[in-house]
Amino acid sequence: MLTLIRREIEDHLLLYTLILIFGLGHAALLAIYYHSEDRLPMAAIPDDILEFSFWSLMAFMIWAFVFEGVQKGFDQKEKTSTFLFTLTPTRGQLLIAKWFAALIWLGCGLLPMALVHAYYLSRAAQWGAVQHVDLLVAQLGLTVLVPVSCYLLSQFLGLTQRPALSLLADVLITAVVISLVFIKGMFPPAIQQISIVLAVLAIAAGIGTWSKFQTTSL
Amino acid sequence: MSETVIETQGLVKYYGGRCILNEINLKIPKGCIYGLLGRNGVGKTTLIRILMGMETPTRGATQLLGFDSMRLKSQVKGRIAYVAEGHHLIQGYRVNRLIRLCRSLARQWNQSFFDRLIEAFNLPMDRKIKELSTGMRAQLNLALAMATDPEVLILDDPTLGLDTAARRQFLELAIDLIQRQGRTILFSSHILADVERIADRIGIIVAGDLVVDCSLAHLRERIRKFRIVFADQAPEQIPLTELVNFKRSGREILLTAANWSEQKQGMLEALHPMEVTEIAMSLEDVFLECSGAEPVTLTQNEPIEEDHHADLDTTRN
Repeated sequence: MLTLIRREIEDHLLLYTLILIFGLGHAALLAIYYHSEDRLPMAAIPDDILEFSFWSLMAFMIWAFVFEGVQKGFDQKEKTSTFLFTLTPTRGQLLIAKWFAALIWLGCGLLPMALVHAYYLSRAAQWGAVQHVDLLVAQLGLTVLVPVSCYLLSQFLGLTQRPALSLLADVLITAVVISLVFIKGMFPPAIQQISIVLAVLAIAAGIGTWSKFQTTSL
Repeated sequence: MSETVIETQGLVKYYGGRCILNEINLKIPKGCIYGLLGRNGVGKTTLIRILMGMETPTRGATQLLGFDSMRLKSQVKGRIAYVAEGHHLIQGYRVNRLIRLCRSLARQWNQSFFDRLIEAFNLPMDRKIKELSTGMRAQLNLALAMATDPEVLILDDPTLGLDTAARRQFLELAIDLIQRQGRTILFSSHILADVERIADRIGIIVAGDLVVDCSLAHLRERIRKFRIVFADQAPEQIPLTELVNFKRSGREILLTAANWSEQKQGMLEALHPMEVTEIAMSLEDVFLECSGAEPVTLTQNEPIEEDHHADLDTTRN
């Protein structure tokens, strides 16, 4: 299993590196923002810049995930999974390795930001400052759910449709998901509603992908 | 009776309403080298892909090493090696990276044997797979498969695209593997000379039906071809059963029959032919007769014994 996960990472090393750079960049901006907020009359980083940085990170992650999903179609064309399947891995192991690699991908992008948030929130809690922890957790949850649902949906489409059609459908889905978040906003009660919709979509696409991959012609 | 390593039971496969495999019942015992023959598109690759679990059957069951093909666990897969038609491998990888990957995924790896193969094939380790010739890809694929020291080796038209020297080298390697006790090989090919050289049992698929499934020696012994000349016009029909092929032209009849016996010989003589000449048949002739325009069914009725002898039951369709 570790070999398969390592293969997935090595095959997409450039994307992993770029996501890590984006993730670290955003985390650095966030750290400067929090740090200056404690000391200066106004934050050193304007909110707009921070927001732009966040959405850039999200956009890149979604694009990368959608790309990975579309890759499923190319993978079938190149017969990579076919070859791997002729060795010892089972269908389940091949898919789980892909999902694990995607989780690592997600971690590269979002973990630095989450760690910065966690660090400054814990400091604020020590000082007794009131923070909207629940909201922040919900926002982080949605931040995870957006790329995950896009990934699983595009992977499902990549398995069931031709690459061109799946790419088109992926672009549409991504546009709908992002519009949903933009229009409804990342505040209650919309955040819970969007999260539920995306979670249901992600689970359905995940189950669909799993069952399709178990019987699909390799 | 020896242990069955590869088995299909009532295997049926349809693609878009077209029957590709029709009730295939196949049993390959341990240690057998089974050559699967058939023209292009008759279902050889589909049969192998279903056996490997890469394709689901429409109906029926397939087993490898006693396990359901669709549910093979990693440990069982590690005992099987497969060389696919076309030798796709992973096109974007370099040779050495692919070797590393295969080695780390293998249940066991015979490094010294693999090194010997790579040296013999003289493969460029730093080149990308897509830059290799078909022959080189085939050699690499075969080396990767054989390095795992498999109990079962499944080869789907492995010599396709290889030149004569490479084909010979491949066959020698296959023989090398065969000589290791208890190894079972299933290979499909349409190069009959290859099959003739290494197979001890053959199956012929015609339009999705397994029409022949017996030992090579048995097939040669039981399928006979005659040229029969009559003094006058040849009869339109002759009272013989199990005819594989029958061609009548003027005073002459060309017939191929299965399960030739003294009784059949007597029935033929009762027609008072002027001349009966037996025509010697190579495997290629047998193959062409069996996969000819008028298909016949040669089904195996007896279970496969260790000596791989089975009776042929021929019925004209």
